Amino acid sequence: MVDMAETLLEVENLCVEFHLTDGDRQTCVPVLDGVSFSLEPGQTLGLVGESGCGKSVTALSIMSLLPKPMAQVSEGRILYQKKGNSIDIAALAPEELYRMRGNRIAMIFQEPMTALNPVYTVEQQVAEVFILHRPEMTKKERRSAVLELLHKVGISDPESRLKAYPHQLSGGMRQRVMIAMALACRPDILIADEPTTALDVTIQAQILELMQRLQQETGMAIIFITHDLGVVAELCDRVVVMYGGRVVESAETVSLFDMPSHPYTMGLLRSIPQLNRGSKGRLETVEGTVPSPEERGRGCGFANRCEYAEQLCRDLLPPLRQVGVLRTHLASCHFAEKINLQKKGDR
Amino acid sequence: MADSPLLQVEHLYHSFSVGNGFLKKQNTLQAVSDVSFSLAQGETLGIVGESGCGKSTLGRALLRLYQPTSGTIRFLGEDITHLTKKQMKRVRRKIQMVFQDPMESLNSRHTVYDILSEPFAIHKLGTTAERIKWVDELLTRVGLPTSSAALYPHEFSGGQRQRIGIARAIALQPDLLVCDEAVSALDVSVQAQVINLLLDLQEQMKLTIIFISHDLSVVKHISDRIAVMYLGRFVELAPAEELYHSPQHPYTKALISAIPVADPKRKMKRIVLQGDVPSPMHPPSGCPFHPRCPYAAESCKVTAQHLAALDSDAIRFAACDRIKLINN
Repeated sequence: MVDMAETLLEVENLCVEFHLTDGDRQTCVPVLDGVSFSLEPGQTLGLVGESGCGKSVTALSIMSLLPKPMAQVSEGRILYQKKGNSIDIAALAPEELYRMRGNRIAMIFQEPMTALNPVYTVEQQVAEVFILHRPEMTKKERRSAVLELLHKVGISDPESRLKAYPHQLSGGMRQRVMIAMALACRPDILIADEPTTALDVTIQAQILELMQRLQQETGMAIIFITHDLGVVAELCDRVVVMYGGRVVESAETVSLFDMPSHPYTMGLLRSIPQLNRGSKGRLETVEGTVPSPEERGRGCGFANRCEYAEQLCRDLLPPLRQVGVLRTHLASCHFAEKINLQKKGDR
Repeated sequence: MADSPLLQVEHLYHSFSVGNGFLKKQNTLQAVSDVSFSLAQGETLGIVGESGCGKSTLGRALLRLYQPTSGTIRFLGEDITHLTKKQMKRVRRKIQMVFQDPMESLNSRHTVYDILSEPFAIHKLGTTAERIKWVDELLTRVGLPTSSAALYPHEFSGGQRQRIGIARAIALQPDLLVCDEAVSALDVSVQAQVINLLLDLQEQMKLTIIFISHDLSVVKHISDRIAVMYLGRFVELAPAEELYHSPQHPYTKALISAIPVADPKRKMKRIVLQGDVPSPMHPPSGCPFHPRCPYAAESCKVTAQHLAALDSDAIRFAACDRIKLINN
């Protein structure tokens, strides 16, 4: 196993259930089913998958922001480890969570307009983090800390922006303000949930560059949730691919793109239109659509869309295991080796 | 006739007036400025640009969903810019549109049959029996089971809903299809399916397509030629492959370099543009790109730039008179 001293966050067999009421009927939907991965200090981990695969629910579980009591962590642990201490976030009391959230672990969201409060100024919102987590600071210290942060995230003329409301800022600026709030207490872990999806490409480039620079300066670890494999390739050290509430593949970025070992990852990589490939022609596709949590069977969640699926796949859930020579390259497929051999033959 | 373009757009302008309140100062927002291009039968023109660059407005102006402020649109040689509503009805059979969000563009209280037979009803085509048959054919054509006809839009997934949107657009066998961010809301694996469907339909029905999107990778995949828009203007127009391999305009260069590529080993120098897109209410003087352009000179602040041919064959166009200087 991975050296325990080196991990900062260890998610072990995380299961999350949603309890839904439909009239008189109560249904329990398993949204996450045995999600495991680990995060090292300073690492950028990409969490990828299509809508509904459970990547945002994973992030919300780590932040303990699941909509309770509807959503519950039913099994598993989320271990935050620092200086030999290990804390299970999933079992933490609310007061201890408050100390953790926004302080040691921070999060930025896709839509800064909905995540920022429209009736507070930029200064009030960024300063709130200090009021909560650094109560010893004076008002003057807070203001200069806010100014420094705004400057650091590349907001031009920060003094004049202090009194601005979110609607007076552009999308890129709002995202910078969110990043400033998240970094206020120099967290160990930053969870970024599709932070650039709502932005234009040239603004996305600015924000990605900013995040990389800040990571180098502060040494924080980033969990980057995205559906854009291009962003993953440019930014992440390691990638976790999710499908139907489970981890289907997990590997170092280079290894994942070189030798995708789960049929879903292969399909995903083939179906993105790429700028550097020849133009005009049919794209390869993954037929069918993502099954809803209710439709998942006891076998592999991808079996109904997989071209290699056999009866075994429908009956038995494949474990996440090492494939190939690298210890860090894991995939959850019964036939990963066979498929890779076959693909080599085709080439 | 074979050589005459299907669609010809000349110096098209469209502006919105904003802040039309009592005692309020009225402002104009120039959404589309001086756009000219022509489109051959069976061709696919991609239009890319960032939000607010006017690409959707342009798409809608082409269908006269917005009345252009000035300029002409010729469709099959006929000037359609000033046709009456009644006369437009005839043209609309031939020009159809696919929208981004099928949940919003499909009536949620209508069944798929209602939605798909409406074009026939509007144009008084066929008997009920024929319409039922046509709807079945349309569904098969876009890869949906014929049993879908009795269902409502909310009973479908996003990709399937977009297929319904496409089926409605091709119902009257149009010549020109304007797709406004038609695949942007879909997940990659579903997006690929819908792109393939569009390519198949284009081949079967000899469709001409204008494909509007902010996603250059998708646009490049589907288009023969690509126009890059910035603040209402075309800044570059070129064949897809060439635009990607040798972008000429500084904005196109930055746009292409900013797109993340799914290849971790490729380390490309990213050109990061400073600042945001200026507001179209107060566009910068001269070349609208000059405040963000890494090559801007004093003259760019004054001289307006127009799309001009870069080669003698008039295949590539760009709106920058310093291109030769910059690229040497």
